Amino acid sequence: MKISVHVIPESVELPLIGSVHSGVVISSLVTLVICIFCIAMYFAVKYRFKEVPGRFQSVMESAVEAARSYSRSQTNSKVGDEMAPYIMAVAMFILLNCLAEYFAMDPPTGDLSLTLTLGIFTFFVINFMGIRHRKLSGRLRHYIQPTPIVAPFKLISDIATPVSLACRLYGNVLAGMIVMSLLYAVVPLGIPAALSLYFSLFHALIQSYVFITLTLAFVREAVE
Amino acid sequence: MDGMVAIGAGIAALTGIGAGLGMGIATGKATEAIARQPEASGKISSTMMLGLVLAESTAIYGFVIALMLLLM
Repeated sequence: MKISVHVIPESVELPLIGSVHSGVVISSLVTLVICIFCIAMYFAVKYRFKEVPGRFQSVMESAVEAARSYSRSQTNSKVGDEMAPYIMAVAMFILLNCLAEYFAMDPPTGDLSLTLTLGIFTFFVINFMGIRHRKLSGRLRHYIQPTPIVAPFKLISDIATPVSLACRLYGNVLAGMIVMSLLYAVVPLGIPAALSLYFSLFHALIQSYVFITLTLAFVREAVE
Repeated sequence: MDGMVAIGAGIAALTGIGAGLGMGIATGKATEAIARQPEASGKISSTMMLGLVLAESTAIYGFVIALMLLLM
């Protein structure tokens, strides 16, 4: 029985770049497919938008509206409007990446390099929003509040933010993948189809929701 | 040596105890709160989700460490 999960991937030789881990190559390729799909969707949909929305357009519009209202409800109305595009983009990216499992591709979110990239991106967004709304002095001042003694701990918890975001997404998706491959090895027919609804679809929805909720919580903490 | 690694991975997976206790307590309290104030259920459940996620993260760390022990 072989379980195909790349936790520590073997390295492969690429022209120009040199030796890279195979997990990085696989997740880059799958991410590329997803990005091409998204851009194609954009061009296919954008020029058909009408004044009176059809069925597909109203679904899209309500999704965008939901992202904005959720982002506003978690922060305030000004920060919420600024965060809404990032929130929507990250949620759709994670959702599509997790759903790549249904199209016989390894979900790239089960690879630490991709989730860590998302985590570092979010770290920069949090700090950017903090500096933008409270100035650099206000952002630095939160390290010495209430007393200067807590400064090292606050610094450590700030640095731990991207790592914890990354490990949470990676661990959840990888756990789902491992459970599913164990299940396929034991019962190859019928039952995995029903359970994959939970482990692939429901997990994907929950993980994207969790990621944006935590991003908004950290941003709220940074701007207040 | 392999046996010791397996034991270590098993011990790392024990982080699930704390996460399970925390998530159970949080969900129980949220259910009580919704029973008392059904009109605040939206706010209660979104706060509960945040707490659940933060409690779950310890279990995830344990899982990642167990995997690293087994496969590295």
